[in-house]
Amino acid sequence: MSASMSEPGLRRLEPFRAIFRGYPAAAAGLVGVVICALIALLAPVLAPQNPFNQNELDIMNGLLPPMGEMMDGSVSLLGTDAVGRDILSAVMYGMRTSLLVAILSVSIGMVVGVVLGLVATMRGGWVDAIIMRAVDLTVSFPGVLLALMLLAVFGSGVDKVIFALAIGIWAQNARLVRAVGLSEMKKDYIAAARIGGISDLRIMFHFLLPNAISPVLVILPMAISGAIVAEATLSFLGVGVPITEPSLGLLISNGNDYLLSGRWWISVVPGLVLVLMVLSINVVADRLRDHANPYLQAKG
Amino acid sequence: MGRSFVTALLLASCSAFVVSPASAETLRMAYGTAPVSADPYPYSDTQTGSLAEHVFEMLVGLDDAPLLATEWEWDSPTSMVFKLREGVNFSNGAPFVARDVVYSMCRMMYRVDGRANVVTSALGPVTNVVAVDDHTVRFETTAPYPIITQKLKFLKILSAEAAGVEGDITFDQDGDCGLVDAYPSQADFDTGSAAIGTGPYIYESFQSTGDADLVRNENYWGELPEWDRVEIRSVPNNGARIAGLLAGDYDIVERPSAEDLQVIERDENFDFSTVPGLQTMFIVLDTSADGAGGVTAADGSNPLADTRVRQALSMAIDRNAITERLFAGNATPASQFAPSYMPGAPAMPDLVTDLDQAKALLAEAGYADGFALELNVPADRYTNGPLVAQAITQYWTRLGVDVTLRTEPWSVFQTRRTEGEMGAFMYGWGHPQGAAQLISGAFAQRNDDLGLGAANFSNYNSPAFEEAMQAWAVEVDPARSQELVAEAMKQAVADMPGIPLYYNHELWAHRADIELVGGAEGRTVATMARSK
Repeated sequence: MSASMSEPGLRRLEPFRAIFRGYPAAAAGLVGVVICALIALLAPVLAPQNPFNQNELDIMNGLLPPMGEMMDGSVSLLGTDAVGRDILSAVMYGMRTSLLVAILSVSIGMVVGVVLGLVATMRGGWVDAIIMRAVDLTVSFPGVLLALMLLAVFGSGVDKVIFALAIGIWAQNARLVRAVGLSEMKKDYIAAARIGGISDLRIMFHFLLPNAISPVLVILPMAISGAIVAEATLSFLGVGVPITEPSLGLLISNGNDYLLSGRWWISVVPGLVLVLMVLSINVVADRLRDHANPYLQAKG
Repeated sequence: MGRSFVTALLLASCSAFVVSPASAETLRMAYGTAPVSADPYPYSDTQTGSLAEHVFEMLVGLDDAPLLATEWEWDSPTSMVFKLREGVNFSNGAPFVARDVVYSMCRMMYRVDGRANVVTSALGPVTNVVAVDDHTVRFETTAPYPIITQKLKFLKILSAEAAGVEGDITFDQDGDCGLVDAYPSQADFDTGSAAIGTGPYIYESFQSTGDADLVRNENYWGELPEWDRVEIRSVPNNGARIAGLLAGDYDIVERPSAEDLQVIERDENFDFSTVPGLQTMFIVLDTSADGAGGVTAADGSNPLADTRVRQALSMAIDRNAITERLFAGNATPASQFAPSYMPGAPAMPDLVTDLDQAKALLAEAGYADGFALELNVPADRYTNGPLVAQAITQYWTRLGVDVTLRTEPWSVFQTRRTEGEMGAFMYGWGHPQGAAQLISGAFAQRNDDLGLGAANFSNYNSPAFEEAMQAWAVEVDPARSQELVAEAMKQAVADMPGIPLYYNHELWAHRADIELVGGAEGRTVATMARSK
């Protein structure tokens, strides 16, 4: 064992492993997250069909049950939807869309939110007031409603969904960073840096940022799972991604019409995958949050 | 306390006894879209029309049969005389006379806040309406206007007396008629005070949610309908509507999906009825040489301006696959721009599906490498619209066209369409006014005097087609009129300023003990149902 500990790669992983040791649910969640990420990354290699390529689709292959035979003789493992999309492939590509939208919107929201939060902290006064009132305004709308309104104005599409979700996300990050930042500002090291004539910009990014970022990083996975669900909701409502490139939410929505007639696979399969993916991320996120919170950790 | 309990029980059992036979004669129907108002004039959508049809009647029925008029004829090339049915009363007791027709025409022509009513524009050529005697009305027009009876199918007759109008009414073309203050408002209709018609039902209530309760007009002049009470509920969600039927909340629900029919077929307590409808689904192509919205070719030209490209696009589509796979047979592949089975539609051969020939045509036109096209489709308007659009995207992609499918809510779609931003869009057009309705509205050059080309988004301009259309617009002889329609239709199908796709069938799901004979217009009315 001590031999393996000396491996430099493993040693670097050690603190990470420690977080999940003794928490089987969180560990299982982590495995789920990794599998989801791998499937999403490797979908073009793994999927039997490219469901976004119209040349590979044929309505004559429509509504096949699981294990149904397609016109070219291949077998559709999880069945097809009405326009002949192989559900297994569509789910793989759908996860890709869902994760892409969630990660990008959360990243944009986080960067914008953190920067604005830091600016508000540093500048104070009217800059702070304007930024924080904008935050108040943004968070006073329910996230999905805000995104719905934005999409109604700008039209639908993956890029617009990312943008619409990011607008809902930046505000909470800005508020969080400012709250932590304000308490940091009172500390001696900041005062020392100021006396030392260090520029505001440098204080912001070299002193304040490293100390204010950790709560944002803790809510990051939760924000991603929230964005996945929000994207699914928007697509379910028909204002998200284009219907020729369905995400999980749109697949569920499409399948909704077929539930009563017994063609369950069209919405149940993507529905289960969505639940498992969000659940995995949430379990991991929970563990990370507990780990980062010393009070909870002490309680064990 | 014990006694009051027994009394309550007795009362309850009494009321149960009273209610059950009455409810047996109540018909509960669920609409797929909410009627906008009880006012039958400003709104042309199917459901508002269906609701109004219970209460109001027209001179000529939707099936071209006499309704409030018993006979009509041209007494000169520019005037038509209607004989009115005698012994008809409005639900407020007032007798139906010629004055009511003049009053209704005035109201139809009057634009509230500049807004046209259902057939305000269509009846534009009418210069005068004269009450010759109590049961004779003369319509005078600028020029021969042969399709006036088709347009009058949408003139619901109101009671002049109910509006407090007395004496003779002098018609004028903008509908002022000196009556502006007397016209009831939409609210007057919705509260029921102005909703006085000659129809088989009377309004009991109308809610802004589109729910309405109606009671039978016991003094109706025609055959009394079976149901003494009708409850209409608006349930836009497809699944909720069919679930409501299965749960016993409704007796008839309109527009079940092909999927819903699978459920209905398995359940012996329920049944469905279908009738080939009057709606042609088609794709409009902007043929303008200056370019079309969302259509781009390598050489900067508009490929859609070339007839061969349009034919290739049509040929790439397998209409049978669409109607069989996506509609389970509840749609008919289109061969022209009017349902081929409707009276007056010319006989036309089936449209060819041939991908190789389509590719050859495209190459011949100089687009062997394809071009990019944005196909616009309303997401929430047509049965299976987005599915059909995806099927067409598949076909055109196979042809070598780079298709981007754009679906959006009807309201957004409508705005962009009106602004002419769409080079290719999917649309549905009903034909209650005859087989030439689509081609005369969507493909003819705009001519307000003849009522042509009100929605020509294709910018189609063919001299031969134009000549036939203009001759048709003033042709009074029915046989010659039909020939002209056939001529224009053949030209339009050869040139393909649009691509005919399929004809929607109208569908109703209902209790198995109800017999339903629906009209091709797809209106859901209580008079079409009777118990077995």
